[in-house]
Amino acid sequence: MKVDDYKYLPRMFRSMYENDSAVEEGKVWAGFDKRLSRARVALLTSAGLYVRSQPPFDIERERREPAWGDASHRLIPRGTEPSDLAMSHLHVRNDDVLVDPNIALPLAPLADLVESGFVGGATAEHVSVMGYQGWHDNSLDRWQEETAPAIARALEEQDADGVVLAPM
Amino acid sequence: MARWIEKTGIPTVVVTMMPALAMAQLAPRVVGVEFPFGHPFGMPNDRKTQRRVLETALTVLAGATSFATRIDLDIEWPQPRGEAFKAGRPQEPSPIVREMLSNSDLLRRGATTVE
Repeated sequence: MKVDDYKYLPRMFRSMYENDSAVEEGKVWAGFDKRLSRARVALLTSAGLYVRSQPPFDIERERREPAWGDASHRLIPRGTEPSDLAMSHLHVRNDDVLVDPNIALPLAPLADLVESGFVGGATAEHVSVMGYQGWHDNSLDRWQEETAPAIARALEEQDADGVVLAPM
Repeated sequence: MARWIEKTGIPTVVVTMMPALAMAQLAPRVVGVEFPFGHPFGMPNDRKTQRRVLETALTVLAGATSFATRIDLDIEWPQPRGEAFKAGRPQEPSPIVREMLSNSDLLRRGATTVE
């Protein structure tokens, strides 16, 4: 069974994605050398989730400047209770995620898989970004220069052996 | 994003509703799910499906042996299509979509999202 990318995409958006090509060319590959049962993994969501004690992603500026998107990131401690999470994202429905954040950031399923021994462990913190990065030619500049390196550093510091990314 | 992290030496897998797009963007490992947007791991409170998607992602993360590995999960969304479609849309159009609706040039340019 092959997943249809466009099954749930409104027709008006289809042409934007059909001709989408890679930002950069070439293979990148890091081998996964450990046994999964001894490995520590991190999760990364683009749901715009944050812990209530952290500042929200700046959707107020996005409302004022629709072509701008917040390029910052948040680190979410692995033991965070679902009720301590909030969400800033104007491009997806928020209510299902707020009912159960595990549909975007599967903290509880990962804890289950750690407990069963399927995977060795979770990093102390996971990563959250807000997926909409704007609508202008330099949209990804701050990503490339600041956010991506900061996330990579955080993952290295936490000895992540692998990352599961889930765009929204 | 997957490529930037992979370049630092940490292996990645992308769980996505748009696996063909992730492949076009040259993500190293991709797990496709035919779910409405905003629901990469399934329905709220459906722990069994959430675990199955994550387990598959981890299996691909650890077990893929070559660049551009794609595995699609054969899980049917439990809601009728109309309801699922609604579940994948924001409550109201995002600011840029609202602007696009009044300016068709923007629509042709395409947005930048992180996959």
